[in-house]
Amino acid sequence: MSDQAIIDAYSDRPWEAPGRHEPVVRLRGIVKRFGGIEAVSGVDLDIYRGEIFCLLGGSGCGKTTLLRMLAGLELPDAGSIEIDGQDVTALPPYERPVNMMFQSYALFPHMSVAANVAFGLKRDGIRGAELESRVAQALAQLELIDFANRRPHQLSGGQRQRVALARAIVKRPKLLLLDEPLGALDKRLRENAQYQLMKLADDTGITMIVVTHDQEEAMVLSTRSAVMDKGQVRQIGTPSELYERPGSRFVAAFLGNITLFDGSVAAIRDGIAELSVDGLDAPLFAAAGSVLAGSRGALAVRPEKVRIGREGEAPESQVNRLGGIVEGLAYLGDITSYRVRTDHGALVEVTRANSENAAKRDLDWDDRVEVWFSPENALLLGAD
Amino acid sequence: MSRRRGKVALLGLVVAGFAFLYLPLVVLVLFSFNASKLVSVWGGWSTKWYLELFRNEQILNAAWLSLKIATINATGATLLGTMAGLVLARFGRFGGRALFTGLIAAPLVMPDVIIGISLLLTFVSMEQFIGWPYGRGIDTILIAHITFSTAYVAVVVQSRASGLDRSIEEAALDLGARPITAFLLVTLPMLAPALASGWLLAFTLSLDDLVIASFVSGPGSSTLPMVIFSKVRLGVTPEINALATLLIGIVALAAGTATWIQIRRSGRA
Repeated sequence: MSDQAIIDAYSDRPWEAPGRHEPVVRLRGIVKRFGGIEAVSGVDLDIYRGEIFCLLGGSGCGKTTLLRMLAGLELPDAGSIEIDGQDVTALPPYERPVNMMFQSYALFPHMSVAANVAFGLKRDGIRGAELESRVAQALAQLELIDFANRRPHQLSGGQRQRVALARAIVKRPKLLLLDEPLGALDKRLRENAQYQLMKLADDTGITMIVVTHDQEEAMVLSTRSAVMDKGQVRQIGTPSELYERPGSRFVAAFLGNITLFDGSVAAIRDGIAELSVDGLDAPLFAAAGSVLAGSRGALAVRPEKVRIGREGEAPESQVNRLGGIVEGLAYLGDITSYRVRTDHGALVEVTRANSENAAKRDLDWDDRVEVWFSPENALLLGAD
Repeated sequence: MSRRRGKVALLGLVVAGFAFLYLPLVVLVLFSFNASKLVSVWGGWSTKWYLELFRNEQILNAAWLSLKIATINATGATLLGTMAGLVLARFGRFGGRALFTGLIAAPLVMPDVIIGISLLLTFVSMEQFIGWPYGRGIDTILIAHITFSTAYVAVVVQSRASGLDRSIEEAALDLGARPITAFLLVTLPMLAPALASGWLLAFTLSLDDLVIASFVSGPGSSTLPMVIFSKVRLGVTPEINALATLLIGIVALAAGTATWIQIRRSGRA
């Protein structure tokens, strides 16, 4: 394959070949303190053209502060921000090629929908026919034509969200920042809005950075996400990397449910580690990851990768098997979730797809069961 | 049964309360239409005291002066009070904030007599040292009124400004507006209801004021309340009742408008 072919092959996923592409956003060593407390401490990020990049974390993890620094609403105490090759670290918000959609939407209450959308264009001196056509285009893109003359207080929550989005994209920014863009919508609206946002990213090609606390939202929307905690980026990856190969207990526990067994690594053979689990006689086996033999570690396994059956139902070939009692059971329609207390006292979460009619329960509360999982589907994490 | 009795009792209390507040005003308004020259004796309906009133040069001049002062005062106080209110609402914790807040609010609780006498002393000594303000008249009344009205406007603007979503102004900056543009196109329109009610409040306060104006006015610059008060000392004439009725009308209109603006706006925001 020629070099050009490789570039082409990767062109819609530039982050997979970082050496060949210039990032649109380059953050280096960003630090921000509020009254002596570090809200953001030393963040480096490269974000590429066309990405929907999620900053994911709990409240107070620094994700919104980071977004506000990109918008120019806060100035970093250290570090540099480059957007499209231009150092914007010290530029005020009105001189940055960046637009932001605020969590509260921040619509101008005394202006009509059309005037809200036109506001940014007018600041660039755009008038007359061009102004009208660009406003109309943005309104059409978000299905707002019928509401052009309404005031924000006359709109529903979903319509306001779309006005905020239209206002933020109409200037065709190099970077669109979204602060919890779907946070105020109810569940049904949110799903539609998610797809609308992805379609918008596709149609316009605008690079987006989305702040969210909702891991599901990050999974659906993002090309890649950065999981943040205490002002630092804990891991950057695609949704499946973060879910299937979390690098730490924090990331593993933040994205979805997971069962952890603490122990010490007895041996590593062919990339499979043998873990002596505290309080358990037989060892458990898992993909080794970067953990070294002799160190402490934790075996992590997702609930849907654990199988469950009556005692003795586990195939003989399974090395990771544990006996226990069903302590909790939740029927969720598409899946059933079990909590199994193992004989050595650990709690294991198991989910099972109800691929057949589950009206007749074959496993019930207090039943003796066996749970098992293959080593390839479990992961060994460091002790952090 | 007892429930119904409770309701009647409650209604009675409400009526008694409102009577306590408004009966004197009703009596005054009624007597302004009294044909008799004796204030406390009813002599049939008449509007002749209103006609008398409009022929009285002294009262008309005083009324004109008061309106002029009230208008200029309201405008000046709104300008200064808005700045003070914005600083209080927006600048977070700056050095001396508590002191600044206290100093802004002091005129709200300071007795009028003290404000009046202190201003008088200041004006007199300023005249001695720098020759300004020369004598006392409309200038000194204006300065005095703006001094205390500003405090009221500041409080009104502060409460509105601290209730505004900061991110609306940030959105304006983000969309390319320089800070001054953002202020004029976004912040100011959102503050408009507070500015309007602050202006009307300052207007009413100035129109009402007797004590402070008495201290700082000079010959030939008697405001309406001063003229009324001096007339009352010689005995209440039905003319004064007519004048008072008109004043009640103006003040009620101003207060009503201010309330209406606030309600209409807050319903939207």
